[in-house]
Amino acid sequence: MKDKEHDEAGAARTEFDELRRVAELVDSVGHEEPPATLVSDVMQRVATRPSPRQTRPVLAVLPGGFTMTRKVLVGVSVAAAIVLAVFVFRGYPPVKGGAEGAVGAAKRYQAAQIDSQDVVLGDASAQQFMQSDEFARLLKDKAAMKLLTDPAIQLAFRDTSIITAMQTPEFIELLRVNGIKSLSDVNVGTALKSDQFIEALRSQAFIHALDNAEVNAALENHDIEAALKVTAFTDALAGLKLGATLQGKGVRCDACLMAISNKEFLGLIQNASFVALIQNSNAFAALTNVAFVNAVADNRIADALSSEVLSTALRNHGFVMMMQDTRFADALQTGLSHLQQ
Amino acid sequence: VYLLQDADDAALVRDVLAGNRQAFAELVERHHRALFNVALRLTGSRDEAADATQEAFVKAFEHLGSYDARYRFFSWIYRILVNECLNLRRAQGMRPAAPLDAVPPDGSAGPLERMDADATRERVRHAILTLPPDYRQAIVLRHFAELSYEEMSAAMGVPVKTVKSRLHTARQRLAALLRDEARDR
Repeated sequence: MKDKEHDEAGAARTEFDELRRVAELVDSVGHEEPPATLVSDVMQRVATRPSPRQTRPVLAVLPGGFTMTRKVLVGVSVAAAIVLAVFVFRGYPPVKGGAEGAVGAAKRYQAAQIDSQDVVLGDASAQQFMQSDEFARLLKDKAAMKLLTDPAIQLAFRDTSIITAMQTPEFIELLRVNGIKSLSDVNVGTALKSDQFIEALRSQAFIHALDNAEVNAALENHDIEAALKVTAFTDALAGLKLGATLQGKGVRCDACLMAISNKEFLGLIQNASFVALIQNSNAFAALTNVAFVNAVADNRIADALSSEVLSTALRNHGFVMMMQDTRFADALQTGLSHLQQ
Repeated sequence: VYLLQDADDAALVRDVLAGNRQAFAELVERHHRALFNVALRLTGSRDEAADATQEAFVKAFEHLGSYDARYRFFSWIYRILVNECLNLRRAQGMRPAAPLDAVPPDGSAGPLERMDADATRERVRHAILTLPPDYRQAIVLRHFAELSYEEMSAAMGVPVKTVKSRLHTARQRLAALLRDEARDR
């Protein structure tokens, strides 16, 4: 019997060694470098193709693979307020062990069973926020609720640079000073969608130009402002005073010159809080981020941000944590399923 | 390791869909080596591998709007690539894969050792090409695309258990092929 076991173990070992040798042999074949022109060949062919556009019925994919289809989203939008109200007024689902148990201590009311997939947000500040009057106000604010259940906005909240920019004093000031319409402003929206403006924003020369007193003085000069509105003038911009001012200071940036010659930019540059915003390094980083530009150029987001209660919430760390936690979105889905049963 | 973070791929895909074509160049740059090597081991020809890889990227660009971001970009484009490789073979009447050109010699080895090593590598390459497609894919994804079992599972569309089983059988078959080949020499 022992001999048989010994033989079997020996055979297994032999096979194992043989397979390991095979794996080594396969690895020894190694990788080969692709043709040097492969990437450029692909990009050359792609250049003639129309830009792809989102065609899937999926509106948002959240980290962790949670997906909202349009149909579910509609249901979630309707049910979200009710579900969140349940959380607030009846308490959160019971916590199932682990460090996240801190959540349980924060609950205000006796917990009610919602579903097996409980809301267990790991960040204590998020829990505190959900217990706050501020959160209760959010639930009653239609614009805010619309935003909270909008998948595009949920995605935007998961982008750190967007959150960082939205929390800058300049951004909040921009919302405050210009009333609630600043981001809905046609000029702002158009400029943010303008490639040349974004290109200019990415340029250090542009930022240096904004820091340059002479350039600022030139921009504030009514004659120049008026002149910039004349197409013939802007066409010849590089040869005139403003262009000379920029170039005289060593600023060489065609995109800057193009940007300052467009009317959307003029609309923006007269807005002191916007200028302050782009001089803030966090906000600047965000403004050169395509996702951020798309987010703030989206009228729905602009409208939602115009909600006072939401802009207050935005300054709350707990709120941001809550929005960044995919389980919060999961909870909406769970709550919806629960309500539909 | 060829494959980079999923989150970065997802961000690049979003950027491309937002109109930023340069982001697609970044995606191509990230994945073309792995995909080319996969195609090379599936077709056995550098030219066919380059054509299939190029075609796969172009199709990926054209259909990026239908890409489901719940899955890895590599898994998605890998499937496109496999179809391209099959299409190429079909177009050419499923002729047997041609042997590959010899890989550049290893400068550290002597002439005889080098010849022996080259011959061995050539035998292994040939043996891989004679494996049935499912087993060949398992070997290629594991050894040339350097995917984990989970990543292979997503790319091949089969459970991890099946991936492991296929890989084991593929290596057994390779061992048998190489044994037979050595006996015949």
